[in-house]
Amino acid sequence: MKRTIICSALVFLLGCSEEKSSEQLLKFEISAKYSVNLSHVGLSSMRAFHIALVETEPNLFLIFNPFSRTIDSLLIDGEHTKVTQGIEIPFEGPNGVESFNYFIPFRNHFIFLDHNSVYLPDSGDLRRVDFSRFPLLRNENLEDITRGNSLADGFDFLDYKNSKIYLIFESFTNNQKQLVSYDISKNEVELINLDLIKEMEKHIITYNDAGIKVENPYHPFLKVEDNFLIISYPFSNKFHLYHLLEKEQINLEPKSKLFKNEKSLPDKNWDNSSFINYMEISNAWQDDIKFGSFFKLGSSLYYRIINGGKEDENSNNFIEVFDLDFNKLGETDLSKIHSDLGDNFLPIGSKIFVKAKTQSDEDILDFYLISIDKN
Amino acid sequence: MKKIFCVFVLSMVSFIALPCAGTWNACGAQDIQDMVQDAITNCGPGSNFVIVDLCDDNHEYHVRVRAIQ
Repeated sequence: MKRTIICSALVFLLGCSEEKSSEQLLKFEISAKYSVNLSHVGLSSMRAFHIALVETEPNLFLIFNPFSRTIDSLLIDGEHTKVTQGIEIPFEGPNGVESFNYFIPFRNHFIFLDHNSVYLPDSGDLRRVDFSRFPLLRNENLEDITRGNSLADGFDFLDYKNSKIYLIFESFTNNQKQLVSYDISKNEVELINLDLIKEMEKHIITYNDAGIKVENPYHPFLKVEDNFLIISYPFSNKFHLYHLLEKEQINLEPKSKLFKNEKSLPDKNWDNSSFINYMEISNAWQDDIKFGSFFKLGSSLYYRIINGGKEDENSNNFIEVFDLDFNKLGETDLSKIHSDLGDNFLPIGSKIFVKAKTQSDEDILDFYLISIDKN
Repeated sequence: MKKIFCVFVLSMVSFIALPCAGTWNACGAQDIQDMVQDAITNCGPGSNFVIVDLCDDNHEYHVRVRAIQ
């Protein structure tokens, strides 16, 4: 009989002053540990996976296997979980992609993104679209696609129904950020007016040397949903919803009783000719609280994970849970419920997959499933 | 441990023979510094990649080289 751990947290509905407050009970249930053998595909449980989520198959993760250069499938089914090797992505040739940051399934193949291009399936091959060739972006010096979204969390940049991609571009010279849509069918880009929070500038830590720039991972997260976008930040509790049809931006700032609202600002008094000094400042900022990206859970909830940061060498993971209107239903400290939960929490249908903090062997993936119920 | 060893071997490879894009693994402060210096010397304009320090809590370094205008 599986042993489960249940924690009931009495939480209050938190939100802005015009919202009605009420009490709701959230129940978090953590399964026993499951394990799946990875040896036949050559993945390692000791490395963070490079993942894409599959909207049409919620129990499936796609994992880019760097050892075989294949896109493998991890089907989560409790004790019957299995991993299968998938198609190879050549390094070069008509189907090749030398290097990419994100991928997502599309039309029986995949779309790939690197730092300034998208690779689209086209009559059996991959066609590269270099965004620097679009005058609308080039004229604004918008050179690069930002790397806010974690490779291990997947990046939902595709509006599948309308064949549009949404990305945030940035300029090298002034850190200007611009939300952009790319229409795959029309091969057109459009700039979208989105106001990012001013505090972002204060969280940028930069080292410059001989035309090269090294920065900390402050960039915003972006997620495409049906008819709206979610834009959030790793350093702040604030986030935005952008409704694509109405072209309307909504700004939200859910409060917490468990963790602070923002990372501490970096120490700007440092020797910017010293890379060692830069590393110390940037790493201290990275070790502070971190807000994860948003995920949809089942058909009725959203959540995000907040890592509390290094305090006394602990790094607790909190979860915020929202309804479909992004009213905050509650929060809890998952690390207090179970001490073996790792750092990657991904939606699997109506449950959350999380790697175990302690992996028994690099050829074995140990994980848990978290269920959230509300009364 | 063989796959972890392979990761570390990859991290020691100079940028001279490899494209300056994607995500690269490193181990420790000296390795990071060496890779950034390597990028200054060898990465072309418009290069954009992330270095992850596997030996220090996966701290990230986002490296960008100015594109030629």
